[in-house]
Amino acid sequence: MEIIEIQNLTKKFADLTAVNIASLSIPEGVIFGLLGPNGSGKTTAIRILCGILPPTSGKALVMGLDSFYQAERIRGFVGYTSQFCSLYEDLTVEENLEFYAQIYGVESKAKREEILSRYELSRFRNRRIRELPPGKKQWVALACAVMHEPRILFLDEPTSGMDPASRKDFWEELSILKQKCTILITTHLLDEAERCQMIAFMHLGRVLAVGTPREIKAVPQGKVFNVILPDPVSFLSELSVSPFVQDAYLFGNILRVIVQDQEGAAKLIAMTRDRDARIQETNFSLEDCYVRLVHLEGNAT
Amino acid sequence: MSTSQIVIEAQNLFKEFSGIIAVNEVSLNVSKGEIFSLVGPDGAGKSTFIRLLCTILAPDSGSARVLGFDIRKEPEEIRRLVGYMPQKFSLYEDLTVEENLNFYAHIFSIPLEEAQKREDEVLKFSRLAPFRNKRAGTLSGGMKQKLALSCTLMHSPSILFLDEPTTGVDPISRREFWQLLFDLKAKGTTIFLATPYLEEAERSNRVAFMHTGRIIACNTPEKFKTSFKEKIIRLKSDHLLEAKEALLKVWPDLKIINYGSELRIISGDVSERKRKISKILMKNAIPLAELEITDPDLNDVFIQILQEKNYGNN
Repeated sequence: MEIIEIQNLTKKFADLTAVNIASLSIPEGVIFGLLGPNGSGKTTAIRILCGILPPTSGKALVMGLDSFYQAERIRGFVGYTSQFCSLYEDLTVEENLEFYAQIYGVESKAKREEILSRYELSRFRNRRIRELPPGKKQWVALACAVMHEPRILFLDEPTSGMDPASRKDFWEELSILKQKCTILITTHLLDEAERCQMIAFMHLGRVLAVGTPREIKAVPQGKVFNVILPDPVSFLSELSVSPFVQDAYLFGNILRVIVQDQEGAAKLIAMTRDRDARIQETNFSLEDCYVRLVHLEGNAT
Repeated sequence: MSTSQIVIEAQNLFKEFSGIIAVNEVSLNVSKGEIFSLVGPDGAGKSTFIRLLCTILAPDSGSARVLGFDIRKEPEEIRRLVGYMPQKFSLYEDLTVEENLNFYAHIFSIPLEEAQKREDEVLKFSRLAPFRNKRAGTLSGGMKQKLALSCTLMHSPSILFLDEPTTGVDPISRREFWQLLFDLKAKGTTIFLATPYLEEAERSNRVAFMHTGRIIACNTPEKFKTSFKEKIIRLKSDHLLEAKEALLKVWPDLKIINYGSELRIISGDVSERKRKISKILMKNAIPLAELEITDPDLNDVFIQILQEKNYGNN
């Protein structure tokens, strides 16, 4: 039994099916990344797993217990930060920590102090949440969610609005937390997804793919090339009417071209001749895989 | 690049707010048709710099020309020719897509007939035409950003200033949004954007890293990566921190960053190092999931530049 097990889980709001997951299991001790557009069901799925929302049908088991109907028995083992800031904006950093300490029955003041200093929040302790920059708020939210040393941590878009340096610190902290806890995190950034052990792509309430980033990148058939040449725009419009090209798009100064097979590759290389082009074969990015899955899904329905 | 036309030219631009320096003697040039990204942490001065160039704020000292016009003496000319999409773009949520566009046409005093024509063009361009009668408030995040961009395009600006255009937008909408930016670039529009995400900056032609009001490095994404002298070894293991400890025991000075469920090891002689890493982990009975050599990404570059310049990483 994995730490999280989902079977035929659905959640409907009036006519809208927000979540429809046939099955998903998350092993203990991993960082699991959940990706998908807004409205794809990520937040609703997390709320069901946290015991905040009941499912319409199916089962969500957390540590072998029903996430909603046995929520009381799970609560102490779970930490959660919401995308919409789960903090009291009018209270100070310290007051928020005290509040969550009471909820989770963390009596030790030393524990709070330790976390304030570990997350470099000591000098903000008397600041109200609404006066903090968005990046700092996420650190306070994390502090409130981990004080009671949960076994599962749900983080909903925690790095939204964080700059590169604090994102690095945040992910460094996750690798430390992960020693004692399983982490389910949502993000829109594919470089963060690369740093998860497992990821799942969600779309319209369903899970389109799940696996390690490496497994997901190994699925698509085709060859990817980076092409650098003087006039990428006119070349791109030529490629867009070439039947052997599956996808072509600009990425900075690089033109990325995906072709079906070796034959397509040969045709592409022939087209770049006399164009002063540098061409290099590369791998599918997670973004390529994601775009492709959603397009396949769109064509199927 | 030498023959290209410079459309943004800033020299020693300086701006402070009650003693706090936001933009500190920044000089830079941007050519026509370039997509240029300013990357940096919150409070680095990115938004202030954009506002100086859009003539929303006046500098304390220094000068800048935008499309040949002086930001101090000729702000009206500049405002007519540039589009500015702030971080929190004000869409009227209870107005329709079309009504929002009308509103911006009105602000820019576009004659009614021309506005109609322009509206059709912009809606076609942004692929929002099927939603023209939908209220802005009911659109998804990605579509709202497209509508905001469309409003900014109503007066056909030559330069677009975008402040964090795709923060909080999912990867597919982000790619669609960037498709639009590349289409604009192909028509000769210059795009200047500020973003905290290196993933976004990587899509630009040139990137400048901004920190505490200064530009600390500026280059193309490719040159940034090739200027990084070392390579990266990615290591994934269920026993990540044990692995880190074992490696540090052998090489106390090895640069290792634990990043989520992977270690990023920054090193010169990577193939030799990689071989030794496998051995060390085997000896310590630490199971290994993945071990591979990879090129640095812009995150690695940015963090290294910060450390080299002694800005620390906190």
